[in-house]
Amino acid sequence: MKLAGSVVLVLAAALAAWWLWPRDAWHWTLPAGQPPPAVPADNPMSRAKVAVGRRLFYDRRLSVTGELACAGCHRQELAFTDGLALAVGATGERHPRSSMSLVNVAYASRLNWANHLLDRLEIQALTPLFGEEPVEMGMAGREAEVVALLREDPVYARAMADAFPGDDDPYTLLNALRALASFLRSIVSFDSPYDRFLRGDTAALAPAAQRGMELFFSERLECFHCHGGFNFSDSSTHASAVVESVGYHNNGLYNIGGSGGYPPGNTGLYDLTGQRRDMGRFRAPSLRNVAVTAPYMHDGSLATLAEVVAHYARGGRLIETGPHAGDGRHNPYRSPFVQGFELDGQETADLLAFLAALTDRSVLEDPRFSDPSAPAGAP
Amino acid sequence: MPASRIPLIFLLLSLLGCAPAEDVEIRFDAVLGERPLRCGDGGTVLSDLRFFVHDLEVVDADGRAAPVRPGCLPGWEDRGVALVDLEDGTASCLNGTADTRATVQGSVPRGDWRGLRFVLGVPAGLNHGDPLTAEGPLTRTAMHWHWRSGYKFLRAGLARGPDGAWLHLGSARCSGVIGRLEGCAAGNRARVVLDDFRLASDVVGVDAGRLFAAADLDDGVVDSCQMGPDEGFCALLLEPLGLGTDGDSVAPAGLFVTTRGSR
Repeated sequence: MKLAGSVVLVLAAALAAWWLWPRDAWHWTLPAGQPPPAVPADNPMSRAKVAVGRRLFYDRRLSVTGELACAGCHRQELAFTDGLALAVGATGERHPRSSMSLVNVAYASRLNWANHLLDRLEIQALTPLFGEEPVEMGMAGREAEVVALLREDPVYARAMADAFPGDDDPYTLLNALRALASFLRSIVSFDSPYDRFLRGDTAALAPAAQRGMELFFSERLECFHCHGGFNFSDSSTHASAVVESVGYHNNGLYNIGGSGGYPPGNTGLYDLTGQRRDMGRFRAPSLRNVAVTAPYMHDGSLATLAEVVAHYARGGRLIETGPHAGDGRHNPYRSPFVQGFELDGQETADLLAFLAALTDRSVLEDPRFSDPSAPAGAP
Repeated sequence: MPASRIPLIFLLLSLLGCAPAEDVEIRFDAVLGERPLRCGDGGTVLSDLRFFVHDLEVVDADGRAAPVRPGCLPGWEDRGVALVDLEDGTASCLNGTADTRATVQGSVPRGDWRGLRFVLGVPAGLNHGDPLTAEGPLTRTAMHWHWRSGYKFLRAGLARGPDGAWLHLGSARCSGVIGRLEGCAAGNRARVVLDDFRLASDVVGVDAGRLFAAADLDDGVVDSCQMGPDEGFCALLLEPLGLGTDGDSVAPAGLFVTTRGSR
């Protein structure tokens, strides 16, 4: 009898462990020593949330026309950018800015090109969904339609209940935002040739890219001051960060009238602070996958990485005629790190080889980040 | 209880702010000068008019004020903030909603009230809080300002054919992060004072003509202001809003007028 009792106890314990084990627990695949992203306490990661967030990300019904999904401006094969200089919203309205990459967005300490007030993806997602100036997905005032979709679509009805099992009513806008944010936080990338080189695979970087790396991290070029750290952006953070790192920089792209001006309506941090010193200050985006995110800068006004390198080599852009005429090199608000430098042809090629080595093919192709409704095997 | 003590009890109750109260309804209407203004197709029409109000007070002939305690009306009134929505989403009101709300309900102590005061906007405590967990009227995404500050205090627009003017008013030049704002250099909360206003018969007129008096509705350019630093049109709207350039209220907002109602 004693033996039978023990067996029952062990079985009961095993059953309890099976029952209580967090089957829904999320974990990132990260290289040794890489801290995970910081996650808001009220929205812990779970596989169910990531799954429903992925579905929402690819769902065109989240736009006023029913034709534009988040993924319309954030295409996986382009590191979640859209290849356009300026994004185009659901109603055809052109955005003043270029779509940003979402790879490693979980590590961004601030979001958007120039918004020191935005640090949570759950809140950021409100702007593309509901923003009016400009219209992106055009859902302002239509939150009831989003909630109805969650409740009435049989796939969401089940998936939202799975993702938010403790909620009396899981079909809320807040939960949709939490799911979207969870999916975005799942898109991490640390497997570029550069990452593999750092992990000891010395063959991962060709000699040209290694020489380019030396240039990138040199005081001569100063690239790394703004595009430094594990995510190649000084506005990066992670779960173990002690100090908040946030940076905005004027890189001399414009100098309208010689007084430091940027094109109206696209003045960077200045638009929010009204402080003249913030004119033309934008967040340095991560350079991960930068070779596939052309065109460049907040307004997509530089077409290629070669143009970008030439821009920084000159220390600012010269626009000779037209409404934006001015020499960015003399912009009074220009970052002290944008001083210009001389590069010969070989060095330019080396630097471009290094930037190309920041492309992580896996994140561009990983089926976990693709359209869940696409037929299996589709590109 | 001896009958002589009853007046004393009433006196004590009134000192404690427990004077008998009555339910009131403050009515609002969109006007263009003397005439009502609506969403529409021809002539000068409304294109938007939604706003938050708080800190409502009634005032008697001696200048004594008493607060209007707002009700709790799901979706419209909560925590002392009420949303007024005078557009119905039709015709020129392209980005509007079908539901409307032309009244604020509340209770005031019994009295001979002759005036009305309130503040346009959302109080800082709520404006700076987390929009994701907000309740009541603050859940409406059309009133969210998810990138500049907390909420749009007032969204107003006037249209004449393809021309027009519009305003998104709210706090600006904020610090902190959205959801946990530390403060905003420009509060932009307009103060409304209607000295001769009878709750029972009068209506608060929101005169879009006064607000947009500086707009040229025939020059083919839509004048707009969304609190950006270099938007010249914003400076022209400060006067009807009674706001100084620093965003402080310096005078009563003249776009709100007493409209003699008929009931």
